[in-house]
Amino acid sequence: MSVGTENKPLEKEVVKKRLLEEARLALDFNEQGINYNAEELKKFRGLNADINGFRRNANGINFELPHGFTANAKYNRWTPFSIKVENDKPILYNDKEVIAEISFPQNTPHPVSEQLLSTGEKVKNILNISQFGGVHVSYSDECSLKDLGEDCLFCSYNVRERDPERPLIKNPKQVAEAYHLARQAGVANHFRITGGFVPERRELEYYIDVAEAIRQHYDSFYGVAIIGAPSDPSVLPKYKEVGFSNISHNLEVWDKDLFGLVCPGKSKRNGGWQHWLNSLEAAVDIFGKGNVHTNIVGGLEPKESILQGIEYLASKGIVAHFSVFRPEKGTPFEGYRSPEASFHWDIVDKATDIFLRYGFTSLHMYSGPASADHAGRIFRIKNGEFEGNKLGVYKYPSIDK
Amino acid sequence: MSANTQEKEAVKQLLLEEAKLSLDLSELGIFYNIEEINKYKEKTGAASPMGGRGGLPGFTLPHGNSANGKFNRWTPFSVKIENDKPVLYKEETPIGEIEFNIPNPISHQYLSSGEQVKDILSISSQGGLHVMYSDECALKDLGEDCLFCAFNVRAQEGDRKVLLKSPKQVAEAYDIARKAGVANHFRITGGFVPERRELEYYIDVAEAIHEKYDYFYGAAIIGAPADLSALPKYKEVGFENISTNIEVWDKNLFAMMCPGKSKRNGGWQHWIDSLEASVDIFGKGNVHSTIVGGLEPLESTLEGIEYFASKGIVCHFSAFRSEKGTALEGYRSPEASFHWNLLDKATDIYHRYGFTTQQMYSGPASGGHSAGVFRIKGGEFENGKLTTWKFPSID
Repeated sequence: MSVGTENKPLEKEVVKKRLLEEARLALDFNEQGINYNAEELKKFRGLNADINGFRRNANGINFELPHGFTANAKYNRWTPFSIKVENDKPILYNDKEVIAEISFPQNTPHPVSEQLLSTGEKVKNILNISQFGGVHVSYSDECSLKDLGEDCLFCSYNVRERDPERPLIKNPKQVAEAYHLARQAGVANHFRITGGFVPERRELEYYIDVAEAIRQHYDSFYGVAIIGAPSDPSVLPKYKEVGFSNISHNLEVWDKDLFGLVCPGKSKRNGGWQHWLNSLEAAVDIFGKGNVHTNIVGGLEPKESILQGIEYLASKGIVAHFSVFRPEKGTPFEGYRSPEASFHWDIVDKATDIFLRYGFTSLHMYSGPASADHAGRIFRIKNGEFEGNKLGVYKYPSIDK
Repeated sequence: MSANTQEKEAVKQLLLEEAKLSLDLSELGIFYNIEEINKYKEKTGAASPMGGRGGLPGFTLPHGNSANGKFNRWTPFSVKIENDKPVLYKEETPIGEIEFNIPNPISHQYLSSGEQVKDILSISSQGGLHVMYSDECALKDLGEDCLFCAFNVRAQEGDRKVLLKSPKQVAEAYDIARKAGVANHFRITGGFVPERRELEYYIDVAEAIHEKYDYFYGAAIIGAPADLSALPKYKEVGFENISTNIEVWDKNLFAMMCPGKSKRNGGWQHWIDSLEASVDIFGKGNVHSTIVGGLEPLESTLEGIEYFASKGIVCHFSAFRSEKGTALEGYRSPEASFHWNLLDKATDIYHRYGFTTQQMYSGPASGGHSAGVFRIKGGEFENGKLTTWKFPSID
């Protein structure tokens, strides 16, 4: 397949088709990797190209396909895909066939990331600023399930290399101050707060404290609280009362039996799978359809199971986002391999059809957990949410107009 | 350490490295010229012992470890025919000459009913037989197939000639193989049969064999019977080994991966109870199970293998390969290093509990996956080579 580049405007349907092809191709790169000479590509890539705010394993290389779909691939010598520099341009190949000239996102951090808080930390030590104009806070850099031996099996939260400059637990004042700086810079149009289980599950109190600290400066904010299903669902309205418009409980897998294996802590500590589901459904009555979210790790269970979950949850007004499973070092799934690209494509293709059928919007797609863009991009392509020949980056509506 | 011991230790390490290579080949695949290989297969009769699947036949590595690999253009490994011999390469470096598996010629003999021996059973290089009495599993109609299992998918593809083999056919094929000296172990397995008439069928087969022979050595692979009092009957009709295949150790995962086994046979605990009850009847080392290696975390599988071993049950395992048409189509098996860790630690457990090589081969077909490494660790090799293990002759 060759994905061409044109400067002249193309029919919307043609661009849509090409964008979907780029999306599929991006999954192929993810599975099969890419062959390139890092030295040769240095001059095209920004100084910040390899910065990753989420402390995960090294990611490989990010690049942008001609119609704006970004892809990520690890280096692999034994793959049909390669990037060669020809006439001073980076050209993507599938075996001997040219796919297209590509570009490299500069990944330049927003300058506000470097600003100092009154306590001496930088904004970036407290939160990540997304390309969508939102902020992401991991309030704690540890998950207390570790001490219980009940970590989710895929999760590397407790084993990732620490950033020594990041406080282990960020206090609400620090979060609010960093938020304030980001909001003044116009990039806090969505506020996501998440983290590991905290000892004694003081999640609610902490989230209330953070929301109240933010509201010392602002009447409202737009955001999501990512929480474990509370043992007493009557606390759910409190998240709404303090200002969160969205809520997410991340189920991680849909299959009830698999939930017991993959998420032993979530399964044992919060009343089990059925309780998580009940809590999600109860949350819809409080937050409204499309404002309740969950997340599934795509590739830990059969496709049909994931799609069944996404469909069921959508029918209840819950957006079940999903990611592409990547086994992480130091976890019980180390050495696993994520399913083939075609598996991930089938999920994203069918799931986005479900999202569209149930009338979810792009804002719903991006207002929940951090996996948003994985399906969000395909959702937007299918919904024709692009202009000209390119898929732009999603931007949250500004909350300070 | 004497010079001899040192040398033996060095060979052992070399053989273990080759066993690791075998896993790399499985993960990364092998590049070859299809036409060249087809010509070679035609000329030599090389083929997969289980038949049917085309591509590169299974083979033996230069030091005796068995291996196979799917075609892959993008891999460092390749096989080239040089001077009429297949040679394995890693990039430009030759690893050595390999030997393709060649099915036993009696596989082509005809039964009185017109089928060939190979339509009824497979003959292993260890001199044993493998019978799948049915090529369909009744769990399909219930929507309760094990998620990884392609048994029903293969039956649909129509590459099997006899869907349900009669006890008479099995006994006749057995007789031919036994006369040829390659029926020193008799393994019978298959899908769930409607109404679970497994016991009656196995008794009929054993009795049909007993019409000609006083004794056979073999294993009955069965689902855990609802009534455990059925277990001694398998022993009474002549099976010295029994296997109840749990497939995954984790109880939660068992319910997901094996919905039929979980619902139809009293669930995971009942399967464990059945296996443990079998030890009292068949004896330690003669009760088997198998796990599909790579469907659950390493620690979980090893916990199961250790638990079973402590009860006298040999829990074998394979390297998961995702099959088309199954619920796990599109899954990828874990990396070779994962499978190696499992193989390395599991074979240490087998040795620690005193299992023997014969016990490694006397259960389900997956026994061969770990038996090679088990034998290497047990020093069962000569002149720098791991030879093919053979069942003791029963005649």
